[in-house]
Amino acid sequence: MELRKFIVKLSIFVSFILLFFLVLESLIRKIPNDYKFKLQLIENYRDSIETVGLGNSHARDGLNPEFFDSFTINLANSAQPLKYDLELLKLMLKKGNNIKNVILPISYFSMYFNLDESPSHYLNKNYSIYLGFDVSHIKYHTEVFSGLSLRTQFGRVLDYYILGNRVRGNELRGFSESNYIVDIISLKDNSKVTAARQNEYVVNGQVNYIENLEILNNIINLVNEYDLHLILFSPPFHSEFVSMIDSKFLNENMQFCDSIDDQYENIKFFDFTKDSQFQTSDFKNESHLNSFGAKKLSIELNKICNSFK
Amino acid sequence: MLFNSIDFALFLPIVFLLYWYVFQKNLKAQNFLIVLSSYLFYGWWDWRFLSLILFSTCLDFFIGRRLSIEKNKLKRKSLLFISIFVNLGFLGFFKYYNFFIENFNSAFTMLGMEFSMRSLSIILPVGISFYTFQTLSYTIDVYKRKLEPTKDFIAFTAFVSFFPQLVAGPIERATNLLPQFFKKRNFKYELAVDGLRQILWGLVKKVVIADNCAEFANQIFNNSSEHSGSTLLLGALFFTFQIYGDFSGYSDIAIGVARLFGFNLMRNFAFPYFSRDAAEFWRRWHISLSTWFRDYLYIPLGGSRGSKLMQVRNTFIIFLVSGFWHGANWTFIVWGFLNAVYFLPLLLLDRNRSNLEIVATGRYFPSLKEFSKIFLTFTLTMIAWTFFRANNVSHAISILSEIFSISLFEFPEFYNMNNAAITLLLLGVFIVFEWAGREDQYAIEKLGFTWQPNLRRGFYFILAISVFVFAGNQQDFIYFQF
Repeated sequence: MELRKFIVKLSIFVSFILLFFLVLESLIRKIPNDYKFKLQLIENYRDSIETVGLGNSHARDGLNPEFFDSFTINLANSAQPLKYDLELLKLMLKKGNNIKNVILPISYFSMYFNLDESPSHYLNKNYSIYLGFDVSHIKYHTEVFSGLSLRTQFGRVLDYYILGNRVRGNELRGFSESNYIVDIISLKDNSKVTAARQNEYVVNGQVNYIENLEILNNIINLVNEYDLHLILFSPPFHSEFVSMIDSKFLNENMQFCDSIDDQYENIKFFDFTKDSQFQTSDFKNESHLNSFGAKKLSIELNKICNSFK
Repeated sequence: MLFNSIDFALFLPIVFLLYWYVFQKNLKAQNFLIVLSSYLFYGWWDWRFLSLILFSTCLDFFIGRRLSIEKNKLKRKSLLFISIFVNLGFLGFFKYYNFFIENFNSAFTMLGMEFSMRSLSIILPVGISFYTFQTLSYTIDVYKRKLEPTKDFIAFTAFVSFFPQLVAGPIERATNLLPQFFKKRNFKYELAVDGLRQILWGLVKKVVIADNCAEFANQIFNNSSEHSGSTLLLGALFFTFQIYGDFSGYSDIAIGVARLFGFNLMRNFAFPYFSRDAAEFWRRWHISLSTWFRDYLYIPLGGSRGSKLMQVRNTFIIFLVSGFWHGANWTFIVWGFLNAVYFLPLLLLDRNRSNLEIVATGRYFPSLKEFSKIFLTFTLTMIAWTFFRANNVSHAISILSEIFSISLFEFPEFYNMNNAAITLLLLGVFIVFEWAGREDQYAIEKLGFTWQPNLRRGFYFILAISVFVFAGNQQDFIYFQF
């Protein structure tokens, strides 16, 4: 009797906790986010899209669709690895029939990067929940138990539902705008930290190279199959940051991308890493452009897209 | 498996249901289930060390049996010596081999002699310091005829390997825990609910307090040369609560889990940071270890009998050995020495038993005098913990030198100060709960008993949710390394 009473009461208590998490999960999923915005972009403009930007935060912050002659959307996301770029391209090609150009950044660490092994691994669940991609290799497919701290998730719920802070919509077609100019004082220290982290990706990520190469080849095959143009580019970095990267990595990346450029007529590679047109005022931090820098980069990439015509 | 893990969250209900539904009618079967589940629990870390705990169990079981038969004093002493030698030998090898080799090598080098012995790659078996002392307490008590040796190997194995307290205590005495394996256990609702309540509080201490404090303690201690005295003081404060939350939290969970199975384990912490002097602190911190050293080392050495000089000698031996028990590093020995120094004035002035009652009993607040004593004791404890946490003695000294410098008056500065502020706020709330519950076994033992039941349930619900929401980055229990 006592045991049954204990189990029943404990089960009720645990049920309330589970209910709390279910409600929290539901609330979090309803909050607008980049992934939902970008899926909506694909749905809303499927027949109009001519140029699609993929890649990680360097492209998300650096590609402004406003400065392209063709109708462009930016599908880049923070820490987005090549495998999700491929999936997004497949999704685009399934839905849209007017695509001509694909823009993809290849940084010196891109070929060695594995999202699962990075501090941003929790972002995997966004591709499962909001884009329907297969991420069966990861443990949790929920917002609540994703590896992102529950405190942060709780904060998002409070911020959106209680404080009423609304997340910006997709009027910029996926581009993440920022007018902030990098703080010179902390630039050197931050460059050191970021360079160390990214250099580590290269050093420790040698095992990921083969898989990423296969994915890149799949992207190239898809581009060829659909008769598209592929623009690969190495994003601009602040000179302070560039000085902290192992030049061997930069050179190897350049040689690798140049070899692809040489091999295919419909693929071009441009190295903006040390491009002198990007000054300090064009960066929001050591490795990401602000809106001023994004305008310059977008104009350059637009010229490249037009050069295919 | 960690107490705060999915693995344990699945393991515990399965064992609980089997224990009370399937094996309830047969005591031996229940004990056998405890053995199986305890070995599974322990083997989850590293199955290779199961043989070690099994060997230790078998050795002491058979020595216990022989001690009951053997009448010859010399032979009895030899049997006891074998148990002590083998158990401490294993402990010494796994824990201290490299420490001694490195120090021998250094000593010879300092004397200008060529001597180099290779250190080994030794993995320290989790919990060895705890279960070794537990089995030793059995053989010593049997030798002293305080306890009749058991003939029930399964019950004895269950006593040695009992999973709630196997890896980080409390270090149970055979006289307390072993007899509980021979009595039929009936499920008691109130005992189980109390156990759950203590588990919940233990999780709050470990996950909310300790793990959050650990983030900042680690950040500050690992980059100590870059920080001001004020930041380092904050780091020491964070570590002081990290180790308390971690260790006492684990003990609370262990005691609570044991209660779910009908067992009563000894109390291990009694609000030590509200102590008014070092003697009171050591009556309230890691009680199972300090009483073990008192009963099996201090008293045999003469204890409080004999001259003051003898008492001082014995006190220093206990604290140094206690420090050494914690790990193979001079920092632990210095920590033990410091604590002995704190204790010394009380011993010399016969004031080591002056604060036996709970501080401010029946009152909401301590008096100014009591508060000053608590503050001083806490500060001295925090200084000692700096040695405990530091990488080596010179690291600790450099930290303390910086703390007691002009930079103590600079505003603290380190990464993620907003989160540190939240952690300090949580600490403040935690201290209020601990103070309010200081007359009970654990802070929330009787909290809310006069409230409306749904309000009390709501409070437990909030605590449970806070364990998830305020969880810090998961850290290993500090005492697993001992």
